Amino acid sequence: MRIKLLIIDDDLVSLLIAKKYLTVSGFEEIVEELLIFNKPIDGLNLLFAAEKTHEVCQYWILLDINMPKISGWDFLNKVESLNLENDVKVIMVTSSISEEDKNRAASFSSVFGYISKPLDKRKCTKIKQIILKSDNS
Amino acid sequence: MSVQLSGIESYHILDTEPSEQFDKLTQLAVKICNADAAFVSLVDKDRQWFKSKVGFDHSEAPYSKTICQNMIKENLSHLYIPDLSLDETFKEYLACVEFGVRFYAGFPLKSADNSILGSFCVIGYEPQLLDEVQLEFLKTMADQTMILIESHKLNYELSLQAAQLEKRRIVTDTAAVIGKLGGLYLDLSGKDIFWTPSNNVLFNLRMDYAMTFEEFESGTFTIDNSAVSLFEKIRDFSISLTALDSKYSFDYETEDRRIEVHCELFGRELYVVFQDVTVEYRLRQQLQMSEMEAVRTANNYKSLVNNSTFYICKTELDGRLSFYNDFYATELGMSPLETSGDAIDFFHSVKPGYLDYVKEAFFKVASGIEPKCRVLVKETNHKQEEVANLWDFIGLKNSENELSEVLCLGYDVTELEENRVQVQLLADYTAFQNKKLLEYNSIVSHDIRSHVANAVGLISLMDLISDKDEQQNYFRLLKKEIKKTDRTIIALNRLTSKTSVFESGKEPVSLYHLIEQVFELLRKTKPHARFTAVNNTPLDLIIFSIREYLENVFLNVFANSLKLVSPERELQIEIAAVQITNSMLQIKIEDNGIGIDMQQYGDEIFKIQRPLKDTQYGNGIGLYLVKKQIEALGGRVDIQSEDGKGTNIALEFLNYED
Repeated sequence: MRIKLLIIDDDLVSLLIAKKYLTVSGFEEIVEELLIFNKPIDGLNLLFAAEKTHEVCQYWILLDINMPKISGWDFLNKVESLNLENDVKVIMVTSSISEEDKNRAASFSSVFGYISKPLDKRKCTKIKQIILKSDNS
Repeated sequence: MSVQLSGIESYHILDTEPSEQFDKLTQLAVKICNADAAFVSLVDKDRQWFKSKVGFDHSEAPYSKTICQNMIKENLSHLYIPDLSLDETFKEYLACVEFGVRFYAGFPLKSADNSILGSFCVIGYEPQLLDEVQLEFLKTMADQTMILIESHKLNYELSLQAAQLEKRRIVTDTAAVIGKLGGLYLDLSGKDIFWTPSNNVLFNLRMDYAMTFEEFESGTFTIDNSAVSLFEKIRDFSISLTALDSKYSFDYETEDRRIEVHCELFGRELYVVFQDVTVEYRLRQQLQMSEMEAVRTANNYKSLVNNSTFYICKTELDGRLSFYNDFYATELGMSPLETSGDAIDFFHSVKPGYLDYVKEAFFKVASGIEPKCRVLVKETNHKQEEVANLWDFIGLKNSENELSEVLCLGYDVTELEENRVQVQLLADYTAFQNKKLLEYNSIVSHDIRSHVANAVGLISLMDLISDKDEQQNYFRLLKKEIKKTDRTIIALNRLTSKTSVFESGKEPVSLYHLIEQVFELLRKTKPHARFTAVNNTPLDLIIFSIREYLENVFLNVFANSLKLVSPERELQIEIAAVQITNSMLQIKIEDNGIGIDMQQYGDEIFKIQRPLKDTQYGNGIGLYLVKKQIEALGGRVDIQSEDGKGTNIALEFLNYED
């Protein structure tokens, strides 16, 4: 299965850190493509575009919660309501430490993990395990 | 001429005691006639009884054998026989043979109707002659005896009448005593007095006392109690010059009685009636007391009913009012102009929106489904103000235990309702405070945490990377993150600390001028913004508040409007202010911008907009600050908007009139 990994976060520093660690953790070996989005709308547009090409692919998204205009929640609602053909799975990567956000994330069926910022090697390994485990089953 | 012997019984003289009057006559006859004996005989059916006798002891003799019988039978004017032994008829008679009587002279006792009752006789034991005078004397004696007999009869009859009269007197006295009536009659010219014995009972006098005319005339009464002054009053009346043919009544209190005295003077005759009215008087007093008590009780109830707190009315089962207290009449009743003669019904003052609800409750009680019911009703009072009343409907039953009326008790709870609304406001503020705390927590957990997370991430990257330039770059980013963290903390501090400053700086502020200043400020700071401002705030409205806060509030609200300008029309902002209660001022700000989709954003309008780091002045945090500042001033914000049509913001402040 082809896997594409999207990182969606409005915080440029956060994106920088994520990209660096994912690269260091050897994500190029398991994912076909690593796509980075500063604006959630761009990420959504990519998913819509992919639908039209009927390209069979599994999308994993590392999603921030607190973003202007379209928040992580808005994004999840949109994705789940569209009933996309492609397999879209989400791991929340957020600076939030609130229990409420964590529980809310768990209520979405497409959310498979909840990681708190900042990313480091250990957390990247965990993300990798989540992706591989889900792929195997 | 027939002779009648019957009738002697009617004289009631037979077998009576000897009488001196009769005896004097017989004794005189013995002397005048020189006789041995004399007697008055009265004839019974078969005997001759002697009312008086001188010279012998027999009290009676058998009638058929007497000489008198002969005389009476023959109806003789008299019978005079000088010597019985020489008479052929009488020499055989018992008197002659047995008792040796030789001389007899008798005269019959004739009543007015000519019947013979008996005889008056003299007798002797020797033959004797009587001359004319002696015979005439005897006749006179017989006549005199007859007068005595008639007198005896009359006496007897009189004594009978006297006994009757005495009985009647006793009955009358008893009746007077029982009936508590007394009396006094005075003949002032005849100096006569009649004293009714029952007076003695009325005035507690000795039972044998009777007032004499002298006592009355002299005014020195031999009465030993307080009744003296009563008789003195009567006496004063009788001798007063004005008393002639007049009446005089007064009440008199003795030790134990109350006596009504009525005097009436006819010429020189004074009639006085005493009536014991003690019982009636006491009863009357008791009656008066009970009457006063009843009136007092009635007044108590009346004052209870006509209070100024509760509405009390009664209605027929169909809701028509049959009674209402003054308070109801003045507050909720119709004015005299409106009353058209028809009975008004209970529902006339109820606001239309509440009518079905009230009627349902009322008719539940009126139909007996519920014994009583309580409802909160909004009504229009006589000042055309809306009031909130709490009503109790209670079914009333008549003596036949049938539901006949409905008692309605009402209580004006308008003020309580207002208090309830204010309490609700306070609760809203508290809830808002709480929500704000949560938001504060959320800012800390989201915003500060994100900067810290970035910093930690950058530091770990600096360990990971050995390239100097790259490390330099991370270091620069790290410094930026720390600065942003610092700014966020300062902003938060400003946000939270502002609330505690306001108490000190309150001052009277002219709302109209303040708003004008804010518009001016807006025009200067946003020279490109196009809008019309309509300031309808009353020129004389002064609110007691903190000027800077108010400025900020309006600046934020207007800035919000400026962000939501409709492309189709130039923005117009209209402001009006009205004191909605004596403690609450409402300021309405209306714009004709694009509005806010309340369904989508309603909950979030007053939240701090995410993310805080992009915040410019009046952006993102704007309406949040508005709400916060209004709240700090003791008010609240309400926002209503229709997507595409504009936004209405209502600010409510605690602001006391005067």
